[in-house]
Amino acid sequence: MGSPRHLARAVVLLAVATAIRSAVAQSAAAAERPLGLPFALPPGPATWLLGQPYGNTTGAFRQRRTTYGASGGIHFGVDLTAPCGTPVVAVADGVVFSVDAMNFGSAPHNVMIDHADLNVASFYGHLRDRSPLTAGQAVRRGDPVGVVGDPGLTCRSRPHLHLELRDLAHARKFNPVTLIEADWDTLALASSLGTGFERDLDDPRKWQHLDDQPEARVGGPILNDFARPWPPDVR
Amino acid sequence: MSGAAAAARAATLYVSMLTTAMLVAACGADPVAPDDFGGPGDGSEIPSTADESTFPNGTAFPNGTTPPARVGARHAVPTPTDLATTGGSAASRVAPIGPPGLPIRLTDGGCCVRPLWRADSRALWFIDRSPQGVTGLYSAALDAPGAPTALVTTTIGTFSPDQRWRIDLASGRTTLHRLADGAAFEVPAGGRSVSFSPDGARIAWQGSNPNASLERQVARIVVAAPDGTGAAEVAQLARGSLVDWLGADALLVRARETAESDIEVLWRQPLDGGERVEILRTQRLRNLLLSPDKRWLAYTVSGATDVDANGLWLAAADGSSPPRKLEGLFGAYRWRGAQQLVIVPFEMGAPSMRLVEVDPTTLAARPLTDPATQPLRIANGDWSISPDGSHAAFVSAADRNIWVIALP
Repeated sequence: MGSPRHLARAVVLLAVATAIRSAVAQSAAAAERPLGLPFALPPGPATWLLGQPYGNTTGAFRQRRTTYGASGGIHFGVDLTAPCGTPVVAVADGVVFSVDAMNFGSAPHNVMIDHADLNVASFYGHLRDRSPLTAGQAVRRGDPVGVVGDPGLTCRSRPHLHLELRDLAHARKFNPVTLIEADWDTLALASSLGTGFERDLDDPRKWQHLDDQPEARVGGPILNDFARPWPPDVR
Repeated sequence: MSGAAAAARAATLYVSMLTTAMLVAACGADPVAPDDFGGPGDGSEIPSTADESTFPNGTAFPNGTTPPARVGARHAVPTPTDLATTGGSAASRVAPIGPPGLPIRLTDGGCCVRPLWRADSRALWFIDRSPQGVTGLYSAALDAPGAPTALVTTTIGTFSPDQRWRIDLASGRTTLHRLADGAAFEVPAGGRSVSFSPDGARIAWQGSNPNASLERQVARIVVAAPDGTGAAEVAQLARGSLVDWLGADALLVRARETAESDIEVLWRQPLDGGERVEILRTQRLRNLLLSPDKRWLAYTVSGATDVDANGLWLAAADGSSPPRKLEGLFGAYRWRGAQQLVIVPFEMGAPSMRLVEVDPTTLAARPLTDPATQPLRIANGDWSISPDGSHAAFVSAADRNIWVIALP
């Protein structure tokens, strides 16, 4: 051992092992996070960025009994900021469950797609225009769903896509970070996470990371009504 | 050739190609930051009301002078007076914790998020709870990597930059504690944090109308003495906010041009009754960060219809020269002392993040870490630079611990 030939062989073997491990890891990750991103364009300041993440955000805490009170008090989707008109695509193969069913919220327009094979539904909120899709229509991953709009209805206020992942009964809401394959750590760099997640001083490590957030349920109890919140409520 | 053999051969070929590609990548040049990446989102459903994280100068924690107790140990809880020290920042830089650029783990057990630097740059402080159920501010010292963390105080609060005041926030109440003598003053900030002026003589905060829709939010900027006396509203800003203090007698504030506009305007707001002075205006201004010497502003623009405007910018804080865009270098950023901006480039899919430093005068950039030999991956965008500029700290996405890097 120790000859250049043996060394080269060892390097190649190590590289092959690493490549196989990487390929296996990528395959496992794909199985664990089977959904794609709702944009075909790569993220960036001119396209789209992570806005408010899913879960126990400080912003949702402040609105836990109002805006978010109907689904556990947490931010029960992920906000992806993007200019109005940015194309939105389906995160997986599926069948359109509804278009503009406003009982799901997120005006002015929305779409719900069921992905029966994956036991999950994807919901696209604050679309600018009514989607060309129709209920019952089959879609493939990456197919156009609509375009980004603005809940302020002006395209100048706060244009973004509100994306939710639910169960097929559309009652339980899941953390998209755990189901959508993406480099969430890098996306978080450019988000407005400076305000962070609300802390429960009786359990300050709880729900403090992007991928460690509770499941929400329509009509479920408020999850973040902490006895000792930090930061506390303001008057 | 059988199907199985063909598949095996194809797999071998694939692995071979993959291996070659990996070896080429490993031997190649440092990654280059892609154009037009970076910039924050607008967190558009997050209300604009201030919390403790809003004010960059109001989050430092005091020097700890009490010998620290270990997590889980029985100990006497320090009184607020224990935290009253001479304050201020260290006179010289802390010695490097390790070789420059090599991450060193300070904690274990995945303990903590949002750590804040002690003013002397020798420790990081964070909220945690011991196995015995003691919630408080804990400390991880740079000179004891991996050692058990130490309880400093069970009082959760923020502190003034000179660390002579602790800001206690309770539900709807803001109380300032002067640590030197224990005097306490409730100020009419309604449970919001306050920002201290550079000379510590005044405080400012912003109120809002939280029940209004975001489109109708108006920030009311109030200034007072630290004992709460002389409180006076100095500005009302449509969808605006207090950014920072520009000096002892002026604030940096921002607002939308109108409630319906996506143009944001940045002003110098004098406190002597003078006219507000515009510094700059642009579409969709994000993540404003004022340099410690108040000379420079870093900010990003994202989602602007003027595509060329999107990216990371540097501007003179007095508006004396046109803002300059950092072409080809965007991402998250923090100031390192007064004259260097440290950036984590926004490089989706890169196996490691990296640190780059930019001189705001010349825009010259230099790498601070080599991702090939100094891998790091930041969780939650949770990183910071020590007050003396000697180290960067981050919460690792790999193990959720606090790590520190000595900066070259």
